[in-house]
Amino acid sequence: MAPWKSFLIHIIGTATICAVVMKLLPEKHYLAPIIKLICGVIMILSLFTSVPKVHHSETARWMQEIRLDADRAVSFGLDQARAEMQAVIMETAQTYIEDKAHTMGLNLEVQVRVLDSVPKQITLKGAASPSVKLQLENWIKEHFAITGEDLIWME
Amino acid sequence: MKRIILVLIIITGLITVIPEVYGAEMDFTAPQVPDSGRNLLPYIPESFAEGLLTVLDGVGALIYPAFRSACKGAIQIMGILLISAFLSGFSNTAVPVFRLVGCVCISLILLSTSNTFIRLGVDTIHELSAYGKLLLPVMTASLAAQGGITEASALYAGTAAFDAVLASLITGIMIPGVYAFLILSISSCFTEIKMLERIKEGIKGLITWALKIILYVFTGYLAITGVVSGTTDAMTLKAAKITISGVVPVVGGILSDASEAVLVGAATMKNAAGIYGILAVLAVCAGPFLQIGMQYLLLKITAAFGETTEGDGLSRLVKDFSAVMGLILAMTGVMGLLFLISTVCFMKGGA
Repeated sequence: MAPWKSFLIHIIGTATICAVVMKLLPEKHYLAPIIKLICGVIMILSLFTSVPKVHHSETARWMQEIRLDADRAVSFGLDQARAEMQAVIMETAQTYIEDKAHTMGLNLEVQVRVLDSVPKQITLKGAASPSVKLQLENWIKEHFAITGEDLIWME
Repeated sequence: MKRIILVLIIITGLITVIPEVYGAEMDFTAPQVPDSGRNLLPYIPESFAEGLLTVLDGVGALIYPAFRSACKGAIQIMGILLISAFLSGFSNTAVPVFRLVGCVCISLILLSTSNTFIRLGVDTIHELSAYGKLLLPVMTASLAAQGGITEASALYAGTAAFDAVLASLITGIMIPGVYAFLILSISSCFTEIKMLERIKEGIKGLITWALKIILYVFTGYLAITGVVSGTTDAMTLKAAKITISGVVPVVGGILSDASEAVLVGAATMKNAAGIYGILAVLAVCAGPFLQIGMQYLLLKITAAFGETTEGDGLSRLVKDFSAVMGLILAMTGVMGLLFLISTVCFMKGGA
């Protein structure tokens, strides 16, 4: 902003000096038109010679910085939302499986690992007969699209 | 002024209650009000109406001291204008001398006061800009969490760019321009040179024009990005919902419910942060706006009084000093409006 400031000061300074010079000169003086012309030329010259140079690269870099800041803020928001969503999915899936196990007469502790907002690994803690165990495993595989490797039983 | 009131009414209409957030794990809290505005908004209000009333209550307490300090200067100037008019009636030849003395007296009284108010305006602008830099990322993050990724990014970039340009223009060009305006005004009062008068009017016109253009371009940018990126985000979100519901039934249902819960939670927090942000901006602006506004109003009245008693000479100088107050008010107002409009756009945005 400094070049623009100096430009403004330059123009106002020149205009003030020209105004004072013209004021000091008597109106009917034979030199008055010439002085007016010179003042006009000086004003035009000062206007064009002091125009501030704006560097394109600096503006581009500044815009880039703003875009990066915006991206950082957006990423932070998305991370927060993702973490919140994973927590909600994990909690809901755990309750859902625990309820199902309860209807089968089991008292299990369920842990769900969520990756990319999808349940990826389910760990079941508790005792169960082989037939009920198989029934629950099949139900989980069907409803949660989990493979056998990602379904862990801990008795 | 009418536009400012209209915008405030719209904001009041848009926002009714600061909603409470239950059990949310996301954290999008608006930054605390800066020190200068904390006496007007000392606590986090439960609703926008309560917050606004608290700010207005604080402003009400400031009216009398601001009026008293502005009155003191106005009475002194009215005295000078009266004495000048009275003495000019006795001798026509001594009128330029009285005018010169009057110019010196008025300049001496008003220069230091004006300088104080200019500094106050600049400090407020810096404070608003600094607060905006803290509020913007919070609003951007919460809007992105709500699904308005493109809109959040565009709003952040636009507001940050306009804030930086406006703050730089004000401190780098407009404030030196205001000082130049004052110098030219005093010089033209002394010398009565028409050219100085024209340059002075040119500077004033340029500052007013620049402020208007920045506000128009900014609101235009917000309107366009709101429509364009809002549509893009809505389509992306719709596509995501279709994909989610296409997954295995149970998992799909859980994902859909979780996504809905997160969107609602983010929207609630975004609104709470936005409302507090708006109140904070108002709290920062209100005090200085009132003080400068009071000075502006009383100088206008003094100038009108001068025109009826003394004529066009010294009262024009007083009018120029009131114009300076008007310019500072406009600069502070535009900066405040920039953040108010932007915050409302953030609150309106999203799915």
